[in-house]
Amino acid sequence: MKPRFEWLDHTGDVGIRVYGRDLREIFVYATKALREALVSGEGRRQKKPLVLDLFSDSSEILLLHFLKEILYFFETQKGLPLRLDIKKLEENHIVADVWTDLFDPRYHVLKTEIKAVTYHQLSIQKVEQGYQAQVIFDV
Amino acid sequence: MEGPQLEKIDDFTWRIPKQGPMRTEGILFANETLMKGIRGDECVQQVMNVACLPGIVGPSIAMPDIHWGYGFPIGGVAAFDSREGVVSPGGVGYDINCGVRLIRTHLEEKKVRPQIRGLIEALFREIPAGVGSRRHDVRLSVADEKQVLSKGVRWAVENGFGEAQDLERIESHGTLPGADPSCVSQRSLERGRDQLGTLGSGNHFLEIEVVQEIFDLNVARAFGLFEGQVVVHIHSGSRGLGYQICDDYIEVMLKAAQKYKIDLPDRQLCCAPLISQEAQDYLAAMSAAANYAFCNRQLMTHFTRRAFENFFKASPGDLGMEIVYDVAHNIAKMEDHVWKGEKKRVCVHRKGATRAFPANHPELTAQYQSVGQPVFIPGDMGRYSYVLVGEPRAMEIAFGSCCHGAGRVMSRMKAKKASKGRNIFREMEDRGIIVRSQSLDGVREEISEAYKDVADVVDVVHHGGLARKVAKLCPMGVIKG
Repeated sequence: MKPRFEWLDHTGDVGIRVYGRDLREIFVYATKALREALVSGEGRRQKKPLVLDLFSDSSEILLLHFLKEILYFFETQKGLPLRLDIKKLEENHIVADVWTDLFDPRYHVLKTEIKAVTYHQLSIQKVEQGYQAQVIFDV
Repeated sequence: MEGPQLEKIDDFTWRIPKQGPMRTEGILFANETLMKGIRGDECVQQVMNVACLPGIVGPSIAMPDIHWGYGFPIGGVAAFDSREGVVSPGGVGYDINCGVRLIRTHLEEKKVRPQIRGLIEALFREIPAGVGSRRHDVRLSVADEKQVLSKGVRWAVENGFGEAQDLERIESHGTLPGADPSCVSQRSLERGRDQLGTLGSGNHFLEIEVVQEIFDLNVARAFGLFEGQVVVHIHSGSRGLGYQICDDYIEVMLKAAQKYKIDLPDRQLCCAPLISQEAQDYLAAMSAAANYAFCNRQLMTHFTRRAFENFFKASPGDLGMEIVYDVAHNIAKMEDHVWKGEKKRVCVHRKGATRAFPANHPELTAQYQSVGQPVFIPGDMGRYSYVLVGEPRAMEIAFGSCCHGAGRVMSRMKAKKASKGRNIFREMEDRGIIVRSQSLDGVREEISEAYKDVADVVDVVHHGGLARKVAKLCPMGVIKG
C-alpha cells in the first residue's frame, strides 16, 4: 500500500504529498505530516482539545487554514496534534477537535521550524483512488 | 527539463527575453558554472512571473545565488514604480528583514582559537537557538513590543542593549520610518513577545570567524578589519512575528489582487497597488517587522558582547566589539533611483538580495561615504564568508543590490540523506570548526555540500561590478539554529 504521505524534494522548503480515500483522510494525514515535520516523540496528552470551526472558499484553502491554525497553536501554546476528531467536513467547512500533547523537551525532539503554510503549488485533486493533496511549508 | 531561452550578454550576465505576458525582460547574473544549476530550474520561470507584475521598472533581476522560492525566487530583485507599481509580501518573504550583521573585535586568532570551544559554549548559553527559541529574561509587555516595532534599535539603545553609535552602522539606522504597530495583528504580537534576542533555526547562525584574507586594504581599513582578526557574524530575522505578518498580508493581498484586477501567474505573487490602503498597511506592518529584526540582532549583539566580556574577563574597551554593519536581505523599501536617465521613486523588493550602495550615496553613514556600504555574504558553515563593498554599477543595473549568500543546491531532505551515518560535528572539528546546535537534524541539513560554493557566487558580483571583494572570513566556531 502507498504510504499516506510523502515528503517532496523542494530545494528551499519542505513539501508534502498526501493521499486519502476521502477528504477526511487528506486532513488527517496532512496533520500527521505537519507533526512529523515539527517533532518526533510524544508527550503528555492534553485534557481539552483545540476546537476548530473553519470556512474557506475551497477544500485546498480550507486545508491550508486548518494547518495554519495547528501551527499557530504549536507556536503559541506548544500543543502538537495527536489525533483529529472530525465532526463535520464539507468542501468549504470543517469542524474538528484536535487532540494534542504538550511539547516537552524531555519527550520530544524538535526537528524543523516551519515558518508558514504556503499557497505555493497548493492543491487537492480528485484521483482514481480518492484524493491527493500537496502543501509546501516555508522553513 | 527544457527551460525558457536564455541569451548570454557577457560572462556574468544573461537575459531572459520579454515574452508572453512579461512586461519587461529578466536579467540573471551568473557564470557558466552556476548556470548549469540554474538552466531548466523553476526559478527561471519565477523571474519571468515577477516580470509580469504591474508597474515594474527595469528588468526582473536574479542574483547568482538564485533558487526556487514561493512566488518570487530567492535571490530576486524587482523595483516597482511608486504610482503605478505594486508591493507583494511574497517579494519580501516570510522572514521579513532576515539579515546579517558583522561585529569586529580587537582579538586575534591566536588568542581565541585555543579557547574556541569554551567561547562557543558561553555564547550558546547566552543566545537561545533552535526551533521556537525563546528568552525568559526579555519577555516584552505589549507596550514594550509596540515600542520595538516603532523604534527598532533605538528602543534597544534606550533600554541598555547597545550604544548610540551602534545606530550609525545599521542599514536605515536600525529603524524603518513608517512602521505602524496598529497594522500588526494580535497573533503576530503574540508570536513575537518572547523571541526578541533569539537566533531561531534553519540556516540562521552565529559564527566566530577569523579574517583570513584581505583583498582591498583601504576599504578593509575603513571597515576596521585586518588579517587574523576575530569577528562575529550573526544571521537572523524577525522570527515568528515576521512570519505571521507575511502570512496575514498574503491573505489581504489575495483579496486585493482580485479587487484591483491584477492577473497573477502564481498566487504567492499576490500584491496590491502601492497607492492602495492594503499596500500602505502592509508596508507599515513590514517596516514594524523589519524594526523587530534589527532589534533582534541588536539584542544578540548585546548578549554576545556580554558573553565575550565575561569569558575573556575584559572590558568593552579592551574587546572593541563594534558593529561593522548590519544589512537586510529580505525587504521592500521605497528608494530613489535613476533608471534610463529618469529619476524614479520605486519600491525595491529584495528577497534573498542585499542592498549594496556605492560610495557617496546619501543614505550611507559618514564613516562609509568615501568607500561604500559594507555587504556580507555568508557561505556554508564549513567553508568561508565574504565581506564586499557596494559598487556604482549596482545602482546602474540592479537598483543598488547584490547577492545574499551561497544558495542551496540540495534540498533539506537530500542533505539529511547525504549526511546519514556521518558525524558532522566530528567532521567539522577535523576542519578546525566547533559546531553547537540544539538540533542534530538542523546541522545535517546545513552540511557544506548542500550549498553552492559561495566563492563562485561572490565572483560573479565582483566581476559583474555589483560589489567588490574586501575580505574573506573563515569560521572557527558556529552556533546553528
